[in-house]
Amino acid sequence: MSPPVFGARDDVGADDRALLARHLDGDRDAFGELVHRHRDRLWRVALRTLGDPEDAADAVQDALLSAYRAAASYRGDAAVTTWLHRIVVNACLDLARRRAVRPTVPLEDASPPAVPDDTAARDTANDVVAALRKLPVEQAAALVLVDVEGYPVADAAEMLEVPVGTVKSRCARGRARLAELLGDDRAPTRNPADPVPVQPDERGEEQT
Amino acid sequence: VSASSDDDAHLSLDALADLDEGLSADAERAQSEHVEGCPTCQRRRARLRETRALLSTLPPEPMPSDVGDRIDAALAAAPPLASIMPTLPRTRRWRTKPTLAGLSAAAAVAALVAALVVGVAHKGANNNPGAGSEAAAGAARPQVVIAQTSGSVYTPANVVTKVQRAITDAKAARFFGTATPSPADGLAQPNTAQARGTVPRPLARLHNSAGAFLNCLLSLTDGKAIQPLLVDYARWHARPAVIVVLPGFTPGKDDVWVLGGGCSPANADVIYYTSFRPTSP
Repeated sequence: MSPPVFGARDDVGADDRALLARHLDGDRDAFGELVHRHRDRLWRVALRTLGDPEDAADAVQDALLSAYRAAASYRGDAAVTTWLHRIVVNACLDLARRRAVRPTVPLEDASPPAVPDDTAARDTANDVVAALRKLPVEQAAALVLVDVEGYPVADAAEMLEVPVGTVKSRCARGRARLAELLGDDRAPTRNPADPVPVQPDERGEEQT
Repeated sequence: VSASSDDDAHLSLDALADLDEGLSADAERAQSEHVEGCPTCQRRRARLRETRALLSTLPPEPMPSDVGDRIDAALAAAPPLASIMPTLPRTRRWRTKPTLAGLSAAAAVAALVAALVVGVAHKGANNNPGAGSEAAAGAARPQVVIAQTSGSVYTPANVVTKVQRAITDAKAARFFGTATPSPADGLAQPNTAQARGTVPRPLARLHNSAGAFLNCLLSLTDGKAIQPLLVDYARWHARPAVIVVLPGFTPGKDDVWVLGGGCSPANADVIYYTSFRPTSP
């Protein structure tokens, strides 16, 4: 995982705003540059939320074209990357809801994610990704933003356009379901009394 | 203590997950004390935390190069931003429909204002969408403006379905010469806290002043007098919002703009935007 670089957020945010302003001024390259800065993270969010590379590609493309056209709707009250994530997440939720029923892929039938050829890590990642696909899409999206990508709950709430409490609730439900799906045989690898490693920003948010 | 179904003495995974998120409210202290002395609940809690740790260690997935190329190509093919709105009236969709084209700009704006004012008033008065706007548009005979104050709740999940339903219902009502209310299927239900026909206070400025609404609309269309297909004073989640459907700049697609009450020439106050391909009449 590549956690958000919170310390450099202001610089990144200023550059993003400058690129968006250039786009609105008619600079043909500015939006593409903005996309290149964030596309890997947007892709991961879409892929992990939807669980299907084709769906994720469709959602990200639709979202970025919408963002390109509706750039004037960016009001500056959130980071540009938050705005982009919001549009991508909405596209993912829309796509999943249009399909009415999310693909329910049995754990053993899930297509493996592209991960390093480390047997233990690969097996674990496969199980987790397959289990994510079995969650309601709203829970998957919240878990992807908070636990996978490491965004603070408040940022995830902005991206999902729901209250902070709703994000926490979706994460709690999602984690409980994932723990069930992953089964009892996955023994903890550390002392239960040890604190779970979380991003400093996130820990601070959740203690409020 | 909220207990699991398999063992009344212990906390369920859901309850433990809530406890970890600080969502247990009044029960938090009792639950924490229970977990402290209960090896079973400690194991379950460890499973939850292990699950969370596993999520945080999923390997990075860079965007595949073919997906990146596809998106780059789509963006490169998109019309320059500055040209998008001015090309709106010249799209195939607008050429093939009776529109405001051909009127002088002033006449077009006047007809649009009249259509919106009469459309809103008429809908509120007798639930017959569009009839007033048809009459008001007069010789221009533009596409009917469906203006309503449904007060219903739009969300990303239902907005396309709802606007299509409203447009379809209005067309049916005009065809049969009577209004055809949407079935009470949940999507068409007005917010119970918001009676049908009354406008939330934050939207009153737009609703009550045709000039204010027109200025808002022109901020979306780069000053072009484009007649909307639907205007609904409603809610976006809990927030009062105006839902506006405009013929899209992409041929064959319509645009949905969700606007806040602050919409003005300086700030369109766009809450949400999407586009859709309307089903054939």
